[in-house]
Amino acid sequence: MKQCVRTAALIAALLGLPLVVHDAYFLHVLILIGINVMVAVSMWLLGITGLISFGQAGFMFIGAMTTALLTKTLHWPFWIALPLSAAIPALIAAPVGRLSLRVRGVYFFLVTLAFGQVVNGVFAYFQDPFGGWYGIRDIPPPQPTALFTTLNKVPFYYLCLTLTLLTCGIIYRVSRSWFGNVLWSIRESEVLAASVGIDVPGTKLVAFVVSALFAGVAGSFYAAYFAYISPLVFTFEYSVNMLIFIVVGGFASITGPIVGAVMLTLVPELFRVTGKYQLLAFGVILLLSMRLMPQGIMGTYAAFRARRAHTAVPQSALSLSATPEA
Amino acid sequence: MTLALQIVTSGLVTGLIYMLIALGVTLLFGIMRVVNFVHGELVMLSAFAVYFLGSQEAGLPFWAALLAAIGAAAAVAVICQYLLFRPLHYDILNCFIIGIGASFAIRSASACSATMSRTEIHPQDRLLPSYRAKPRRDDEKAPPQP
Repeated sequence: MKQCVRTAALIAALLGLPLVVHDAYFLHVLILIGINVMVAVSMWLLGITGLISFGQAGFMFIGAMTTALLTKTLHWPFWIALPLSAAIPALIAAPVGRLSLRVRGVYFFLVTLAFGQVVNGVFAYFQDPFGGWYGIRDIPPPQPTALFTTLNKVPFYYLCLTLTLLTCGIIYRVSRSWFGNVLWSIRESEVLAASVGIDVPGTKLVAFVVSALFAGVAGSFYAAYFAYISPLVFTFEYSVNMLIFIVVGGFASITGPIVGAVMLTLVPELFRVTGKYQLLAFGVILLLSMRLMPQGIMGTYAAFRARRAHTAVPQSALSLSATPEA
Repeated sequence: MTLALQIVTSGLVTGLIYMLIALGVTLLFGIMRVVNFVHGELVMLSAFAVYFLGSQEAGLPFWAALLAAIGAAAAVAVICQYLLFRPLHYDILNCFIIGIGASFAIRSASACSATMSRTEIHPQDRLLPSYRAKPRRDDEKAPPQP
């Protein structure tokens, strides 16, 4: 109950924010945070099972490319392109997941990494529909175009907020449903889960497809907001950033990736004033946060709360090790 | 024929360098199940160590500089082990993230420092083993470098 009130208050505050803050740069940073939260949360859903997909940027790129091609080349409205940009990455994820989920642990990292590179390579190679290394520019904004103008960030902010809240809400429900319990059980022990009759490969495949779907939504919004996409954006580093968000935020619940994405998108922006030392500051912050909070921000917070309440926290709820013993 | 041999030789040299780097990664991953993301920075640091120690100012012979660079890289690795990986109990994901953080920090610290951002290697402090330090005859005919 208390949690419901708190979430509602947070959403109300986010909804009212543009009425108070008129700074375009601030809204831009918030929109960036929203995109990062969407991708990080979608990656976290598969991460529950102990698998980290480095192909997330690839699926995001497929979604962005779908939107770009549909709205720019075919002149379709954005609102039709958006669901299609969610569906096409999910459709591609099904065979990719079928193949890549055969391997586990570090080898899954490598296969999905290779998938991301292949997507990037294909889009970079074919200049004709995909724009090659130059990417695609002048992607039309969502309809009505009178509202979604380049200089007015507020409609984009509300669109981003809606998509982010939808993504987080759906993935939260999924992670707390029976399906989510199945995912957690796979992380605890794959063999045990299989022995009680859980279809381990099928469950993982569904999680993989759903996570690709939401990455596609994020990519679609990215294309409509920035009006420019290129293979230099959706790189391997982008997926690594998402993993950093998840681990720094904490793996144990959905608040982890959200808090991680918010913090680590804000921190480099705050350190922009330091100029060339920005990356150095980011690295040091990453180092310190891992040293001081190895369970992530939310894991440390949960331990702190538990210590105050004098109750023991089950170790499994805090354990960060997402990779089962190979 | 000479060209083919040269290509093969230089390919072998590059490949052997990569092999040396990969050996370190695989040793650590195979035994400790830790992916060391600071490894590339260790390579970079030891390359710079050879460069600075073997250049005209420090004036160490190449082999001494090489040994010193190996020692320097090992020292940095020991520091990383005690500061980064050991307190995290070699958890693969935590080590991954802290390694990335450390690699960002080391890389950008070297890029920010004025001495190390100088990427150009001057011809007079070309780092060669001492037995090749003297220029060959056909080099002497070339116009002197400014």
